[in-house]
Amino acid sequence: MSLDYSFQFNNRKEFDIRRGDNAGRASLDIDLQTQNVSLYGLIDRFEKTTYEVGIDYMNQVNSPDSSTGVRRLIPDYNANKAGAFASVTHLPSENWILDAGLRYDYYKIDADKFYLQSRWEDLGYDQQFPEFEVNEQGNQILTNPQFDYNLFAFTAGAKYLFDDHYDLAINLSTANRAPNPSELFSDGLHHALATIELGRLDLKKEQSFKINTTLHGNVGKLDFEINPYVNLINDYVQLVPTGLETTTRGAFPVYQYEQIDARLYGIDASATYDFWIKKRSTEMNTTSNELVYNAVKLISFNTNFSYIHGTDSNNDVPLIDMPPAQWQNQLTWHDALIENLDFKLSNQLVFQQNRFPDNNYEVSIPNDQGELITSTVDISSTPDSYNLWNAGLSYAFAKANTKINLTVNNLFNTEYRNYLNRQRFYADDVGRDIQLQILYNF
Amino acid sequence: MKNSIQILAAVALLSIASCSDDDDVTIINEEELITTVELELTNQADATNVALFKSVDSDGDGPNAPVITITGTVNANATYDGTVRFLNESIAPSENITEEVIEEADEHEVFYISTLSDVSVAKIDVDSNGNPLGVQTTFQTGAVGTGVLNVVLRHEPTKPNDNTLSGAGGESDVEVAFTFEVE
Repeated sequence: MSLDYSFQFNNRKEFDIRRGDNAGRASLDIDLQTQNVSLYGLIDRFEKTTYEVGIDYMNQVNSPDSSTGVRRLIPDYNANKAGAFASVTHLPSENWILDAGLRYDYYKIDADKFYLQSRWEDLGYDQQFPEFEVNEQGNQILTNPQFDYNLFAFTAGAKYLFDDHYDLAINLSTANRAPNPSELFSDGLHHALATIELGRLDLKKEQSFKINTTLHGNVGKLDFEINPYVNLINDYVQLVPTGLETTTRGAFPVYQYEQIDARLYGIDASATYDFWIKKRSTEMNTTSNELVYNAVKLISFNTNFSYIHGTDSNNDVPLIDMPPAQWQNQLTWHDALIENLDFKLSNQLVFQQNRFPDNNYEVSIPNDQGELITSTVDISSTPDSYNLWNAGLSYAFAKANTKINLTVNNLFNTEYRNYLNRQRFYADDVGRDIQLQILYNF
Repeated sequence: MKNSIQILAAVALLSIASCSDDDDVTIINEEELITTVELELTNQADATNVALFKSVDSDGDGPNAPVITITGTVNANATYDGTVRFLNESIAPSENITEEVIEEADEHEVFYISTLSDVSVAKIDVDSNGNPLGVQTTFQTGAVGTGVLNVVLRHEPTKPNDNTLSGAGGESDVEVAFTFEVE
């Protein structure tokens, strides 16, 4: 039985180029205070069955400083979450591991937020949520949105150990997720991305149904794992581009949160092969366990592949922002040339994502003669595939308790853009990046 | 028995922690917001010939697009004195942001990009380093025609620069396009 309490206070400030008296003043200044308390119990008095139970509670208070002179990115809110869980692990025989668990959370969020009146009405909230309106101040409106969610989760799994070399596991789970404050309350210009982001007050909780299977094998120098899965998510929250809005500072793309039903499946596969294992003779000992423990991997090769296929099943189109297939390979050489010197070389091949929804839209822009012409904004196309090489060297000074790491990411300074990075519309991703790290243990 | 005491203690803690504070939330009026851009052109040869190009976006980055109004006419083959004004009309009384731009002239520059090739714009004011600012200008028109005039206020551009937006860099505080008709 254990009881935990934690408190975290976070003050975050962000600065921008500002004019006059505001120069040097933070554009964003948020105090976030989080408290957690949890009570956990473990019953292991039975030989083959272990029970775990727990309750926990979280309180979070977010208070942006109003003296920034910039409208709040995240509003004032007070969130409370109380939950309880129970789980059981049962080992009926040497070959089987069975487990099941369930969890319930109650989540309530109470926010105070100023909207521009034009935004409040444009989103139809004056019709949909008149009960949240507190009062109008100038061209803004103070609102008090309050939401609560009942969140359920259930999981059940079985693992079968065939013999010393293979095991197979299957897990079924269903869970709810409540929308987070940025999905609910985003409103306005996102300065880092130069986009206008709009949350939605009418988001419901997500519900996922997942089947996950894992085949794991360990045969001699080869260790591998294959993990296919299917995940169906009702009311999946996604952020999609919807059009342009023009301001005095020019036109900005608009992204809005929406909910659809999503169907995802994918596979993760990984394997490690140890080419050269040396047993340190000085440490060789009599019991078989220690023999394994003292084996030193000298050269090992690791490969990793992942693929995910996502579909918006309401509209039968691909899901936005699904990571493209990727394949990573890494070669590690321990004690390279001299003892305590490790060398790593890795390659990351990222394919082009060919499945994406068409969210392109048309805009009217003036041509050189001052006539408005229609032009398509291609906000949907995905970047080309790319191939990155990384290398690293590390040396441990055994006596000085010091370790030096030298890492070079993107060794060949390849120009690439990552589909999941929204800065990709403006610039290439990070070029060659050399890091030198010195670790000293006191 | 011991367990239930611990649970009771936890429940007591929870109820202490869940006492929320209902502080009043104060409104933030964006002091630096520029809602209004006005470019006034006055014919040097005829003070009654005044053209005013005005863009007003009262809700800033809200959903409403700027409203553009153009009054008066610009004549061909004429020279105009130009003055640009930047205002924040979302607060009362409204604030004249042009004053701040002039005070921090070395950190600002106004750019005028015309698609009519025979309209030329000369910046006649300078900052403390002798580099152009562009609040005060002279417009020289040529033949009759219609095009687009982009008025761009850049914050922290490279100065001096080659008078192009890409050469100047910095951050756009204002970027407004007016239909520009020379009659």
